[in-house]
Amino acid sequence: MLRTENLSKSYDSKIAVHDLNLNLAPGEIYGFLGPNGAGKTTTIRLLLGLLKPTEGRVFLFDEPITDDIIALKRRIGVVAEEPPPANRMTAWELVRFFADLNHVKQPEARMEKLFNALDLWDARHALASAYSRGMRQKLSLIRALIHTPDLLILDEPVSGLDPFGIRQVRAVIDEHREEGGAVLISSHILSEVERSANRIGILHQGRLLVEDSINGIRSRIGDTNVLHIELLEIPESLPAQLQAIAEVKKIETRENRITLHLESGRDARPDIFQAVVATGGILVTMEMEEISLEEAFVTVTNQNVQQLAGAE
Amino acid sequence: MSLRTLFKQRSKWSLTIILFILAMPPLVFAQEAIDRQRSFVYGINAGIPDAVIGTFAPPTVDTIYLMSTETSIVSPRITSIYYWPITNDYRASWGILNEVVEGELEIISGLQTVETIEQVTYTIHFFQGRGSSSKPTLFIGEEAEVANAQFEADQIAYRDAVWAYEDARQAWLDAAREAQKKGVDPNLFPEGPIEPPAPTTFSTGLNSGFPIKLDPGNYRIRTRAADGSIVPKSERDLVVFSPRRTAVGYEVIPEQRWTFPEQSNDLEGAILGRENSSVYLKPFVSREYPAVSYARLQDPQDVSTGQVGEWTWVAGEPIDNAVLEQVNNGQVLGQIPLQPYTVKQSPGGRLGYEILEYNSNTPFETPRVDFVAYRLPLESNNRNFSVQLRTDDETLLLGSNRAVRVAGNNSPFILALISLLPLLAGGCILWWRQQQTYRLKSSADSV
Amino acid sequence: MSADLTKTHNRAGFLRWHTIRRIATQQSRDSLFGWGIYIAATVSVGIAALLIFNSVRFVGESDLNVISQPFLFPLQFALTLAMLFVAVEATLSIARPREQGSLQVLFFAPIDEPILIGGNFITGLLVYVFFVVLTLPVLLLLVWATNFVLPTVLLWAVIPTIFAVAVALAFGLFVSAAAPSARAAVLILVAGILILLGLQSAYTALLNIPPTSRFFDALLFIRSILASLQSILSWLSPIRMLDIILTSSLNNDWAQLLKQIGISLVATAVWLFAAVRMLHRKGVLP
Repeated sequence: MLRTENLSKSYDSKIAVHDLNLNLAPGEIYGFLGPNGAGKTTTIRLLLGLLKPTEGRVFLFDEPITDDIIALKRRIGVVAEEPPPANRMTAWELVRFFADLNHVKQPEARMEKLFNALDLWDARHALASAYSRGMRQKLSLIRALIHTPDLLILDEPVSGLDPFGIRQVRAVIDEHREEGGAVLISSHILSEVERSANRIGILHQGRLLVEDSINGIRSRIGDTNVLHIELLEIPESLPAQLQAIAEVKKIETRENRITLHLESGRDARPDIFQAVVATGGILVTMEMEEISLEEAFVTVTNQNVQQLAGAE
Repeated sequence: MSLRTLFKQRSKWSLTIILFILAMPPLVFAQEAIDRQRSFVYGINAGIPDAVIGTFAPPTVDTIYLMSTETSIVSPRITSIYYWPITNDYRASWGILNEVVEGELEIISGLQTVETIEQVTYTIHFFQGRGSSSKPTLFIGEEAEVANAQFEADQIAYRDAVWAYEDARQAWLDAAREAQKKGVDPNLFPEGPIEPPAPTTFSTGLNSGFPIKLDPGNYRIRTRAADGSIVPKSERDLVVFSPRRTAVGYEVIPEQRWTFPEQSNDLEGAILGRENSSVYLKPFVSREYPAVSYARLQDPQDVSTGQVGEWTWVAGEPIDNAVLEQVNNGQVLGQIPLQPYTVKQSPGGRLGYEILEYNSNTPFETPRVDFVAYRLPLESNNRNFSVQLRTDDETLLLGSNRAVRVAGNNSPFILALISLLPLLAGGCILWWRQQQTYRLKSSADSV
Repeated sequence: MSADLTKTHNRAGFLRWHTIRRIATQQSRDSLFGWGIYIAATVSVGIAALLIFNSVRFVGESDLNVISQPFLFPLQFALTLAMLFVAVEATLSIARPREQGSLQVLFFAPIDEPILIGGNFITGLLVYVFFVVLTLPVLLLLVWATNFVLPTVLLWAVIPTIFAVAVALAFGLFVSAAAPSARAAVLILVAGILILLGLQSAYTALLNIPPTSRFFDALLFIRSILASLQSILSWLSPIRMLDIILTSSLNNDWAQLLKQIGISLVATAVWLFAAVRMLHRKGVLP
């Protein structure tokens, strides 16, 4: 659906995007992460043909975007960080205008559905320029979805939104995915990406450092996982039994709780469970401590840049 | 800073300045007086409807302009010309050198010679005074010989008459002096001799040249000498043009300023007057020519007057065989005859003039005819109408129609109020738009 | 196969035209809902009224005023102002939203440079038509109030002025696409207008110097240079084009009118093409 081949963009001596290879499948939500200045917005502008790449190519729906950008744009919806509209249109007129530009016939029913879904129905006849930032963000999403695009590109889609608004936007995006559309989300709200994305790419200084599922990234980040188990009472032989499991590297015991530091790789939880049962222990809880995306993001971009780049 | 550095730093400007300096010499030299030089020129007597314009085309003039409706004379000559820097043109010293160049004129259209004209004898007679007979007459060939012979005979006759008059007058004076000495009552003395009228015709004398009257178009001309060669510098372009429109123009004389008449040439124009006043109209034939062609006809060296695509109305011969009709909505309201008028200066401390209808029976009141015109009253009960001319044979003169208006409201308040209407329209549209849109409450910002 | 291809091309062409029209209607509607056009129209008829008032007063003071076309100059002034208004709007139409960052939003939709330039161009023409529709009735009211003459031919002559306006619009769009900012765009346009008006006014002023003046001969050389520039202006200056189109229409000089319309069409095409290329080169991003 979306593919880039060795996409690069540089301004004079500054490299904005370097050798980027992306691939986005239908029905997929791709999270695009990176600190400020990483090259996310430049990448999105390259994908839309608003910037010309220094090297490499962009394919949308298996067509190079240089061929017929207009036809390709009809299949894309975009939400970007946008200034207030400089025109004198109401929100309804603005969406209607974009529906017409996309040659959508009788868009009123879909407009009504989207305005209601994002709670803008009552404010539809207000001037779009008078909208608050959050309202504008939702309006941009309606505008981007009015022509039912195959690919939705979202640059910071929930910035400026309150939690209720975020939930509405998330629901609309989910619905779009369920209908078979693909989504590319670029956001600094990592929890949002973590919640929605199937796959994540982390961009740093114009380079894609890592591209994987969230679990895949986690497994790349750390060589140990931490497992907390709570028992009614810790049997005396249990620590030795646990120590015998190959993946267990360290055991910490405190009252009726045991913290196990496990080697990443094979899932050792079934063996641990077996050991508890074998020693007559009664398991109350077993909880794996996961590395958050935020930790992964920080780790990848700041500490393990060289290591991950090498591992790639 | 060296010149070289300056050039490097300001290369573009330097280049521009150098190019300008290189272009300067022709401009500078053009301002210097050039010595008299023997040169081939075309002397031109360009015929226009009511006159003949005498000018010449030095070698610097590429194109000669003539009218298609009149016969003009183009004379190939060798003369002495000199550059006159003040007016930026060449002048001819005909008195010093005026050699006729023998040969025939070839007129070429496209690649074909369409006409070859032999040089003929011509003369032009000018008549003094304004009126239908004031148009100069061009005589060509034998007619020119006859006319010139007649002119010379008239001149001799006038000279003889003047001499006879002088003799008779001297005799009469001598007789009068004698009679005075003898105490004869002066009232009983016979009337003196009457001075013969001065001739009203003037002539250019006999000359030779090519008579040209061609259809409108662009041609090329050249003089071919008797030996078959083309006379050097005799090849020129010739533009023959005709009036685009012929109409009636009016000289409009206001009642209070009769010495400052205005002209109404434009058919779509209007004569605007104050109510309860009169204007006097003097019609004449008006022709519309391409401005550039007409200007170059009068002076082939004038390159600054007129613009391509511009047209100019030229006043021609007066019209005196018609009546002026006042028309409103196709209905003729009345007819106004052409009448003579006398202008009488207001006596005493009052300044200004009074225009009176001339009456030969009241020599004290109206001693002379100052102008002949149609008097058009402008009345408050007839504010919009037009005028047109109908000839004595009931023919309506095309292009004589002119709108006449008695000026209306001149209150700046009313005009200002009217000009505010777009703002009012805008206010209405914007108010309507505001009704269509929903005004967000401030709470909406928290959404 | 070839028929299918043609059909596809026709459909693509239709869709592009549809988009251009949609942009044009939306943006001209936007102009209608702002005060700018009404203020400009009021200023234009206000000055026209002042000129007419001057003529009426002249009649009152000197009994007579023979004017070839009493409403020609006021109308010409109103049309020139309308042309300048739409030219300024065109000059801002790309530079301002690009500077603000909202132009890229429009480019999220299926449009490209020719569509945007085409849309803005037609917007300008529509706004000019609206401007004329707004001012003409007011001029007619002034005619009625002053009892002056407004010949029908003068009203007809307004129609072909749209060709001169097209040149002004195309030039404005080119400046807008080329300028680094909205302010720079307006400054370039104003400088251009002042230079062209200066040349035209200087020539007119020199033409009005009577031959009896002691300056007449001294200024001959400058006058001949300016006379040559006049012919160039008929290719460059929309104000001069409007003047020629209006007067040749009034004079029924069809050859001159057609020639000037042809020149205007060529100039419009050249500027529009340059505007598209420039926008393509400069992009839509701030």
